[in-house]
Amino acid sequence: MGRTLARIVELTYPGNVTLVRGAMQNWRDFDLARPSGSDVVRRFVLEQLPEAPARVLVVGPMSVSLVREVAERSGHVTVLARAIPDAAEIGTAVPTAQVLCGSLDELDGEFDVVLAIDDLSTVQSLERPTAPWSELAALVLSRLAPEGQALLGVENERGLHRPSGADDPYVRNADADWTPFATWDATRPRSRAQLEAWLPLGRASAVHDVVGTWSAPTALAHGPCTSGLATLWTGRSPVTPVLGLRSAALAGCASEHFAGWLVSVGGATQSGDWFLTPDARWVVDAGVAEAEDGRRFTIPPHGLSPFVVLVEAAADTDTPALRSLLRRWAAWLRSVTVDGMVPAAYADARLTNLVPDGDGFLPLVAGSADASFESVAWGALGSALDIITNQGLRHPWPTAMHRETRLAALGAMAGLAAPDDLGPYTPQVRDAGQTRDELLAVVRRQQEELRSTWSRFRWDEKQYAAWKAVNLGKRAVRYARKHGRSMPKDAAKRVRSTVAKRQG
Amino acid sequence: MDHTNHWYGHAHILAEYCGLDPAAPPPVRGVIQHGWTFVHGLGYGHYNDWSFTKLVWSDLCRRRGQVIGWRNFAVIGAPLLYLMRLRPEAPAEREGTIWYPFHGTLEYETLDGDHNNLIAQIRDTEDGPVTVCLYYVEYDDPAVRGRYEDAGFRVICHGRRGQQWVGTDRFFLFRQLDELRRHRRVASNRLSTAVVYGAAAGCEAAVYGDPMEFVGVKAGFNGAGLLEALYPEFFGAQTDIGATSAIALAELGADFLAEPDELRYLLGWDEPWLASSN
Repeated sequence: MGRTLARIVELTYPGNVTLVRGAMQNWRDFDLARPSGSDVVRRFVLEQLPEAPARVLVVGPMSVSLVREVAERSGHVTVLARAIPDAAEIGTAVPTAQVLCGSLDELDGEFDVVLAIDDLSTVQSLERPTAPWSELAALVLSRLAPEGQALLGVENERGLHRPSGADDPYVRNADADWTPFATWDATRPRSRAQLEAWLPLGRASAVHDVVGTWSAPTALAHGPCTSGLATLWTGRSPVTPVLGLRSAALAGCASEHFAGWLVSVGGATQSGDWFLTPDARWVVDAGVAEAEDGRRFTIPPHGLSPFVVLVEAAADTDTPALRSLLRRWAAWLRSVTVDGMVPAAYADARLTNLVPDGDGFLPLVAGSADASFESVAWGALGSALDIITNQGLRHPWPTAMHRETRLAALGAMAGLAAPDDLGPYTPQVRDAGQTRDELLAVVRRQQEELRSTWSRFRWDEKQYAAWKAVNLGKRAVRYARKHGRSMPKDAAKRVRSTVAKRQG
Repeated sequence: MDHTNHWYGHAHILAEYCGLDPAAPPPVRGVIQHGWTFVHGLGYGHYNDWSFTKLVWSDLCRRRGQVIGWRNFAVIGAPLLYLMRLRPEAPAEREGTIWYPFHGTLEYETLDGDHNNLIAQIRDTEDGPVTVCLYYVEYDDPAVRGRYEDAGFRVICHGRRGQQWVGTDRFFLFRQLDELRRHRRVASNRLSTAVVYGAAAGCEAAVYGDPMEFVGVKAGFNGAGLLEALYPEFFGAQTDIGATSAIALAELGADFLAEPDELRYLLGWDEPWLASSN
């Protein structure tokens, strides 16, 4: 452990930064990923923003690039940041912005647009007593002009991203956790219903589901018909607990476990049921999703993905079903392959990224570039095995089976011949940054392997003992036969009897 | 134990509070915050990220340490508050101002500025008798000390801090508390430990005047600009005594003081189940 004095920063900031009560000297929110840094939230914010808002308030350390883009549209942007290094970075990068560094209650004025994207927990200052969520939310809305529009992000404390994340917020002890739990704060909305109950009366408002993880959302959903698609999308992440999500979807409450919500208060809302990703807007109607580019598919009931089908079959040792699914998948992949290359549109063929489409499949997200059939197919198989292994899901293969052998067997089920080098596609068990569930899976796996190893050891010992008895017995028989006449009769009889028992 | 635990007689006061011999405090299992600060409670030279228990005054210091990756804080409150428990204030008339020109340290920093200018500002502001209390570094400098004496102020020094367990005046805080309780106001040209102590001891607190140049201060330890933002109540010739007193007591951890039994355990002074201590 080295000296950490380097983390005490010098107090420097440009002239457009004003320090007020609550300013934090030795902290940076920009070191942590936030929703405002994601492509999908950026796209949504810029779509929602009026053409040329007169006065914009950014509450919290919103992504610098997004602040810059907002400032390009508005002549008057005020940013509130709690950390001095963040405030200095914003002030330097966006010289036209006025940056107030400190607590929310130090802020005055009225604004046409208020953006508080990254959850109000990011405006809590360690220099001040922790404020309840409702107080902070009321302060944010009090700064909004009567005809103005606010976008307010709320992380879902019960979102699946929390237990499945690398840091379980209820056990971690990270630098940001100076007041870690805040379960005393009953005013914080912890369900969509509670959030909707908070929405101010008399103003148009809309609640959007934030899909993916809170630190890196991948999609936004609006309207109840998008639930199945959002479930599919959530399942694309390899750390999403497969069965927890499936159970929630079957219970009809998957949306209660998404990463959070983005609330729009005032202003125009985009009507209908739609699903926004960084590169597409899907309109959802009567169970059918249709993208701007013409892609169209029927959303499976409860967002059932092919990967969940595979997981169920693997856990049940339903190898016929496994083979059927994998051969259908491989046939589809071959059908879209041209001269050994899979076009980019199909190059992410992981089962978590597919929806059934007739006899084949349709990728939810395209790959980044054309790729070889081998890398796409074996990459997808390796990914499936990786999730099964790391989440400790049941499977039909023996405990002691080598990882590469297991992958080769999975490929054989799909009718694929294993490449010479399976290493790049073989699941690796991470040795750092694992989630609690993943660590428990490691423990379970090691317990099983240990049990299997002991069992094998005991079997081998027994085999060896029998071998010894037989071979030593044979020697005894030979000895008895040779010297039997000179041995006492009863002793020779005992030897023969013992050997006969061991052999029998 | 860390030799800074003896500074200002902190360990000695805590020993007396815990019912032990104040002349010979046992080794403390940790390092006691020795002055008020806007950073993490410890000086530049202490880089105890996860190692020593950091026995800090307020939870604010614990929070500030958390964000720079430090752990193992124990919030116990300031030794001065324990001394105030040991020496309850007797009702007495308070008079005048005790003025603490901000001080440098023997090892690292010095103050560079015009003391005459500061003296003029004190004269213009204070309407009662003024006691100027110099830190021993400045008190031992005849040039600095002489200027305040020549100005007609009563000039005092609370004692020596000590270094490496040598030269510690264990009655430093006793004298300081007595002086603070005699005065109506406490003032300084920078918000510092003495002002916070004075506000907690019932003085009207004021921070005004030339803050001077803090030469040699380590990066991040000079709070100019930040202190005014975080603690505006203290700045100015006249302040709200109710507000400053409440803030000072919070900064000194008044709500976190432990009873003697608990404090003995926290400091590692009562562990008969261990073969040896520290």
